[in-house]
Formats: sequence, C-alpha cells, structure tokens
Amino acid sequence: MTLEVKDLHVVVKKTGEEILKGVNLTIPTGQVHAIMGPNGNGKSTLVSTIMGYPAYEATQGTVTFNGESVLDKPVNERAKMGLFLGMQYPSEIPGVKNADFLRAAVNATMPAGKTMPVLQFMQRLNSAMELLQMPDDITDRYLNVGFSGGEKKRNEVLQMLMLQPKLAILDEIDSGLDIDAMRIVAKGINHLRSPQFSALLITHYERLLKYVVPDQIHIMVDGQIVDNGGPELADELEKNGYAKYEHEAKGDQ
Amino acid sequence: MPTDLVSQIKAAAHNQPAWLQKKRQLAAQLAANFPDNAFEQAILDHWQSVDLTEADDGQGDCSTNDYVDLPLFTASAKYSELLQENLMEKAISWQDSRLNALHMALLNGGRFVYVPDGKVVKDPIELKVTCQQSNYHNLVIVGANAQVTIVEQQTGASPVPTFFGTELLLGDGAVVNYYQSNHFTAQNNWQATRAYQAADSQLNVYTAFFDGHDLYTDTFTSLDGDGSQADVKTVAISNGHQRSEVHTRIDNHGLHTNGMIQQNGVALDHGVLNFHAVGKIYHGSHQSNSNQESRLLTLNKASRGETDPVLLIEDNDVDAGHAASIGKVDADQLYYLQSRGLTLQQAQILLTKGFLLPVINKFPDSALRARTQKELLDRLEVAE
Repeated sequence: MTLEVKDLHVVVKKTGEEILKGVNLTIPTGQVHAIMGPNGNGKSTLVSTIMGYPAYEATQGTVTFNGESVLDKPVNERAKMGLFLGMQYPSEIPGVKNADFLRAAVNATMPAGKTMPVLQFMQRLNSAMELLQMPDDITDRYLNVGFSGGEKKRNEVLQMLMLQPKLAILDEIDSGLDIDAMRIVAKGINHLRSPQFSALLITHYERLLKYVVPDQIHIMVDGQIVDNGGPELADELEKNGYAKYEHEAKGDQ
Repeated sequence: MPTDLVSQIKAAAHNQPAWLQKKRQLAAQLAANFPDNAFEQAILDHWQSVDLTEADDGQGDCSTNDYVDLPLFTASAKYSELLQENLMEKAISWQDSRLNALHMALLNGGRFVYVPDGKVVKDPIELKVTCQQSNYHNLVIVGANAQVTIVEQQTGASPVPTFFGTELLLGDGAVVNYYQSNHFTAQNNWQATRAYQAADSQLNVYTAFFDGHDLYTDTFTSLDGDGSQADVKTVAISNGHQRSEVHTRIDNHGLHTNGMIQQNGVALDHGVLNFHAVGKIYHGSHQSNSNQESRLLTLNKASRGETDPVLLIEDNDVDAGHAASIGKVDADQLYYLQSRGLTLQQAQILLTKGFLLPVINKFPDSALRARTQKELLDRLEVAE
C-alpha cells in the first residue's frame, strides 16, 4: 500500500494559479513521513489534492495508492481505498450527531454490503475515546459544532482510530494544541503504527515529531520537495529554520 | 357540470339527514361562483367525474365509554345537531373557496370524534384509514376541559387528487395534541387542518409532510377565546420534481393568546418547497404573542425553496417575532462527509436528518417521535 506522487502540478481552479510545481513523493507501507516547510508553500494543497478537495485541479502528474490511480476517483472512493485526511479546519455540521456520523462513516468504509455490528462499533469507540481522553458527551454533540480547537483535532484523530485507514494524512494536527493535548494526539497516531499502516504528517513545527518519530522528513518550499532526510532533519530545522531553502528557491527564479 | 353533479349528490346522499343533503347540493352550486386558483384547479380538473356511490367509513364504530369515534356519515344521523352546527362551519368553511365547497359536496367519508366535557382520554385516538376515494373529512370536537391526543395517519389510495380535511374544535380549557402524517397516491393533493379554539384551550400540532407527491398544506388555527394557545411544529421534504406549498397560519383574536409556528424543511433534487407562515394579531387582542420560525435547507443547485414570513399586527400591546432562513449546504461540508467514505447521497441524507431531527425531537410522545423518525428514514430510503 504505497502512496506514490509523481511530478504533480496543481492549480487553484478559480484563479489558475499554480501552487504545486512538480511534487515527487513516495510513502511506503508501514512508514511514517512528515512534510515540513513554511506556511503558504503548498503542503495543505498537496494533501487536499490527494483527498480530492474540489477547489484544486491537478494539471500534470500522477498520484497512485497501491498502484491504483487516485486522482480520477470521487472523494468517497478515495476513503474506501483506505486514505484518510485529518483536516486542518474540519467543517462544523449542525444537527448531525458525532456518534451518528462516526457510525455512518465506519459503515461507508466497510466492504460493500457490510456494516459493523453495533457492539463492535461501541467497543472500538469506547477504547478510542479512552485513549484520547475525550469526555463521554462528545459523541452526543453535533459534529464539530462548538468544539474548541483542541477538541476538533482530537475528534479528527478519533475518526482516524474508528476508520483505521491504511494511510492517514494529518494536516497540521498539532496546531493550536498545548503540550498535553499534543502528547495525547501523538499517542493516538502511535497506537495505529504497524507494518500495514502508513502516515503522512504535515507540520511546520518539529515538536510533534519528538512524540511521533518519522521514518523520513521532506521539506516543501514553493510547491516542490526540496530536501529529504531522516528524523535528524527536524533538529537541524529547529536550529537554522527554512531560510536556506527559501533562499535557494528564490535563487532558482 | 353543477346540474349533473347535483343529481349525483342527490342520489348518493338520499339516506343522509335532510340538512346534509341540502348543504351538499348548495355547496355544489356555490362552487361555480369562485375565481380560479392554479393549485386548486389542477385538483378540480380531476373531480369532473367522481364516484360518489361509495363512502368509506374507516374502522367502523370505534367509540369507547370515554368518547365517540364514528364514521362521519353515521354520525351525521346519530349526532345530527352537533354536525349540522359544526361540519365545515367553524374551521374549514365550506363557503370559503371552490375547493372547499366541492369538498363538502363530494364528501366520500371520514371520521367524527367527540370527546365530552371534562374527559381526559389517556390513550391516543388513531384516525387511520386507507381512503379509496378523494374527499375525506374528519371532524373532531373536544369539549370543555377535556384532554386528548389525536393521531392521524391516512393513506390516500385514489389516483384522483385527494383532499384530506381535518377540523379540530376545542372547547374552553381543552388540551389537544394532534399528530399527522399522511400518504398519497395521486400526483397532487390537498391537506387542510384547521382549528377553532375557545378560551384557555391549548392545541399542539405536530405534522410531518414526508409524502413524495405535490402537496398543498393548509394548517390554520383561530385563537378565538381569551388565553388560548397554539403551537405548530412542522417538518417537510420535497424531492424529485415534487412541489410542496406549506401554509401555516395562526390568528390571534382573544386577549393574551399565544401562537407559535416552527417549521423546518429540506428540498433536494429538483424539489420545490415553499413555507408560507402568517401570524395575525387582531385589534383588541392585547398582550398576545405571535412567533414563527421557518428554516429551509436546499441540498443542491436545482432544488428551490422560499420562506414567506408574514406578521400582521393590528394591536400595539403584543409580542411578535419571526425568523426565517434558507440555507444551502456548503461544499466544504459535503467534502468533509465524503472524505469519510459517504456517498453524496449518504451525505445528503445525514444532513437532511440533521436538519429535521431537532424539530422532530420536540414531539412529546416518545413512540410517535420514534415513528416519525422512522418515517423520515423510510422517506430517505435508508434501512437501519
């Protein structure tokens, strides 16, 4: 279940502005990767395109998962392939109870015609909520409505634990979290780590990577991956920042 | 048509009390005098030749020691005076429109419910009948200080446009909870539920318009007596190429009367759903309240809806307010739900439930609440 992104170019549909300018990235099964880089350089655009966010359009290149093309599939089909995107800004949906939504999502990602028995669903939900130290009433509330920033992030991780995707992409799951909340979120991610599970973390701080140690780190600047390395790359960035890469990117033009 | 119709009515009604025969014939003649109305006309066109020979008497005599529950025509003989005075006189007036006049003239049956003064009826009275013809009429009279829950669940089985009319007449201090969900077979139909309320009476109306055919609904109550109260809660769906016109009106006549309308609806596919809500406070109806809230959700580009909130206030010592909104599902919400594996249709179903359940959850009877929730799911064609 390898994710392969090859020479991906992406524009904003409305304006035609090119955000991604030839991204190459491979995440093999069982590995956790991180993409780091300054704000506004295409990290979120990349993961939103992989999931199928309608505002973006790929103009060149391919994305495949387990050898299957991703970009020509509807959004829900991508989820059924085992892709999951924990969003930076999850939508608030009044009237839809968190628990009903989780149930619908779990059943939607089951093999065709199958549903998860209620007991199994409840067991999985209870243990996931315990792991994430979430209050019981969170499932009775409307989806993300009135949730604090930290609750929304935890709720994204809760969905990930419920859906048990093959590849989880987490877009700035650490932003706005205090250190305790981040530890809990990291615990949720580490809980799923296995030879069959891979993850891609988008972050611009190295702190999350102290708790979820990645196999590889990629640096994205100006719509391209400009450097790759092991976990030690995060320490280097902490010291020196992105100035070196940004300078190089400008020098190219 | 009238002459021919009058003779048909004569033939069909010859066993009925004289007053009823006469009233039905007069109604047929009166019908010719009204101006046209497009939605009405589409129904009336189909009533040119109707079968009046068969009357539907529902479940027969369902009376108990506490109340009377009879087929309408049986009751017209047995409780002749009560019906002569009240049938289509105080709530749905037979002289109001061509449609009403013809509804009176062409009656195919219905139920008569009478709860005597002071009776507190514990179990709900069910008005449940599969109607083979097109004009059914229920008359419900609830005496002073009586309390009852009425559950109407009728099925229009006729391919000819159907008019279901229900009149609720509440005596002083009567308390009535009224639930309604109906199903139709014809392409367009008419549903009128009208109430007349005496002093200190309290009426709670809970309606779920989940049928899939074109529908004009007319829910109306007149707060005639001082201190009377009405609370109308409605949910509606319009999909396919369906058109629904949902009219709700509360008139405040008495002193310190209180009217509340809350309606939530969802339009999807090419459906059209229009909410018309009117609150009228008449001059002299001091210290009265009239509040209304209409919320519509359109799920896609082709679906349409309008909310038309109207407050007509003639008195200045009152409290009145309205809220209305038409919301579109935003693309980010759909994307979010789809990114978790839900198809567009599943996402729309979840959003529809989310929009209507907050109103349904206010239905006080838990069994009826559950039934309405199930009807919603059936309507959305999900098996759970």
